[in-house]
Amino acid sequence: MVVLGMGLLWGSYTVVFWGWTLVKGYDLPLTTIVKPSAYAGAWPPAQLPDTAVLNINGAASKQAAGGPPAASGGALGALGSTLGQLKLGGGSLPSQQAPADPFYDQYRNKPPGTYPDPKGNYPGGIVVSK
Amino acid sequence: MNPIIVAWLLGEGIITYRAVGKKHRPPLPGELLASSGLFALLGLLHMAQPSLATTLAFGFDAAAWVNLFGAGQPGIPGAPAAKK
Repeated sequence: MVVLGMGLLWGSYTVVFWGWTLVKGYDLPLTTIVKPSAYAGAWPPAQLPDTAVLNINGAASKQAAGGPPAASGGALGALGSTLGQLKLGGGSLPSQQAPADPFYDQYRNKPPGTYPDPKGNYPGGIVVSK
Repeated sequence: MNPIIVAWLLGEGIITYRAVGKKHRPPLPGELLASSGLFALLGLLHMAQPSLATTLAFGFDAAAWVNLFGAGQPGIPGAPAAKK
């Protein structure tokens, strides 16, 4: 019973500590914090990339190192960003910039009535034959 | 309360105090794992030899307490400092 209680308390502390490092965004994998004397670096440790969600064995930080940056806020912020993308159907919103249109770019500074439509017809029924 | 539990909590408190005071961070669960395993074995010993297990448990706490204040550090007094 004594051993069971010790293990339960230690496991609870481990889960709380790991959750705290995730909230703070520290790059401390679960396998590192449970190994005796596995971490000898400075404190606070390096920040976890924002695209990482769970950092169990350090693969999250390696995988997210090449990904695009997301909103700040540590791993939980990245979780919220991921959920937001899932809600939008797995993609991202298109940019607000208008698509490239050669006709529009050619005549956008001309006064109305002085340029043809894309088919070559001027306003007012004037047809320009080439 | 079981004296082994008391000694274990005392030892974890010493480790926590050392981590917070010297390293300015909470102790990692891995740092508590080794001492917890030791006291868990003492808990098993306590079922067969209660007085021996209790003495050993509080003896380890005393050793950790002494080590807390710098005594008991490795090295021989008067020996030249190690090259870095």
